Amino acid sequence: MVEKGRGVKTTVSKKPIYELTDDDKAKFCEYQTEATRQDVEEIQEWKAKSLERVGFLMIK
Amino acid sequence: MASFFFGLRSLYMRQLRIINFKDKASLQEFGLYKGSSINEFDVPFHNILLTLEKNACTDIIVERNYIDKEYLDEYSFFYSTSFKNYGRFCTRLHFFHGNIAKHLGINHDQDFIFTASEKDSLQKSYLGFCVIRPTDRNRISHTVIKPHIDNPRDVFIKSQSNYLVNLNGTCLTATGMPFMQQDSQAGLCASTDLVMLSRYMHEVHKHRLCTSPEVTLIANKFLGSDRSFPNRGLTIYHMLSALSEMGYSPVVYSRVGVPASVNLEDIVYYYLESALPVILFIQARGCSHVCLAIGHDFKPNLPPRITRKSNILRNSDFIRHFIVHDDELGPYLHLPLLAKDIKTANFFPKFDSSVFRSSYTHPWSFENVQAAIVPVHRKVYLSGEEIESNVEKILSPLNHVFGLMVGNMQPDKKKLFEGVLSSGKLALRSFFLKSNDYKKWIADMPRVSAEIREFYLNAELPRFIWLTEMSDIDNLRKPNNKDHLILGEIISDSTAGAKSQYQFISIHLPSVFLDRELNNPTNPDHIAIYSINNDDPYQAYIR
Repeated sequence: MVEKGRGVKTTVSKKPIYELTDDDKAKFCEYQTEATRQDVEEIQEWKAKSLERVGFLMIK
Repeated sequence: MASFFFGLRSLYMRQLRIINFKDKASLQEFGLYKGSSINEFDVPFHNILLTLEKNACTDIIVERNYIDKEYLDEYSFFYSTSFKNYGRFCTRLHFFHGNIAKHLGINHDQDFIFTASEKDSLQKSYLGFCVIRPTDRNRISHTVIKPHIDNPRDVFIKSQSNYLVNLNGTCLTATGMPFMQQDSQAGLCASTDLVMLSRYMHEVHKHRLCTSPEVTLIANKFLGSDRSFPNRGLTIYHMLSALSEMGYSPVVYSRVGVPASVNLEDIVYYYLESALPVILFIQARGCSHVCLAIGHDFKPNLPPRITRKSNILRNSDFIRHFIVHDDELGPYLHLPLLAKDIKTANFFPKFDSSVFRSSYTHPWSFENVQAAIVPVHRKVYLSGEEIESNVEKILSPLNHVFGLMVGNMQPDKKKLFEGVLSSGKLALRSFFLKSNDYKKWIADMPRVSAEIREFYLNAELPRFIWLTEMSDIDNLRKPNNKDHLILGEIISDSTAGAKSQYQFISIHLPSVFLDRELNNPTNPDHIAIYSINNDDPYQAYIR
């Protein structure tokens, strides 16, 4: 019987074929952070400057 | 005594009139189509009529002395203060196909008192309504008409809803996206677009409903401006201020400085797919203007629009036009992505109506769009471009978790998925939606595996989720939308941070499902992979 609580499923009856270990999670996290770092930083910088670039343009 | 009651009857009973749709001369009574050619102020109405004509409209019921909330506010803030005497009341036109005059036993151009009990047949014929202001020009106020779609597999109006209409006690439903023309005094295009947006968002998400004067006032609440009425226009800062007051967390995307990993077209697409209208800021030929994107076309049989660094396609690679409401031009216009696809040569001041009639496209292209403003919900922190960047990396062979999942696939499914991925046919579609709407969809979806259904229906999810569907592009080329099957999907938490490692909640690939329990009280961030039986492709999400 699984303890009830937020984020816990109480009715799914399947057994997992694999549970990620802390090592698996660390590998995933390291890869994902590194792989997306450049994109995320570029996107955030662009969005921060977007308003500055067009904010005062008058629309009629 | 009898004369008293007859007086009451003439005073309070609102007579309607039915006119023939093809009798354009009758419309001159409302200040429309005056003169020998269409002037620029009549272009939106002209396009409304074109759409109705394509929907086989036959009859118009004219409802006089209609009180329109939008115009009443414009009247209160501006027209009532003018020396010239403007009326307070509008005229509402209701459009029908199927010759309802004959059906109701009424002759055209005849006044009648509405006693129709045949609501069902009227509803079947109903194409929508258009409110006409009693002003000198720019007369089109609140309008909802059914869009005309030549081929439902090619064109998708993503932001439309049902609007209840009370016609002398008979309730009808108009379906479409609200449209309105700026009156050019109480509101210009910026405030008019915000009104169209607010009417839609009020109906669908219960956001604040605003009129043009209200938008102008809340836009100027914190930012200084010159006089509000007559309106001289708003800046993007003013529009954002108004959107924040209306309950959104708006985001601005400028064309200048777009990073290499991002396309402005993709961003508009993510939010259109999320059923959010997107405000497009157009700058061309010395004119600054906004229009409202509400849909897109989809041509999967054409080659992809752009070449990407990765070999993963996007559904947005196969669009060629956005569908826009332009308050100066009309509803449901096709805005080409590329200038070479523009078919209408002229913009203001004169239109060649014959060209316009045949082309039905917007006279500008997405290349003229300098910025997009997205009225995002307050509880959606992650943006579409951040999601797709993240998902693309999840689906990389270098990713340890992806490797674990592929390694645990059933052999036939593995062969299928790897074949689609390696041949560059995997296409992504990302959008956000309410998790409860997704659960309803999954609960009613017969083709989805029972085990997947069990996972999703019992999952605890945030109010909004980002859903990224994965399909074989060949499947999307099938003629029937119901045959557009997906191979799997990734669900992400809309409230996660852009740099958070806790963005994805589940990953479903053919025959394997990765489930993440972020808030498991005994084992936080518990992640497990399950094998799924009978996991065949199933239908992509349709709103």
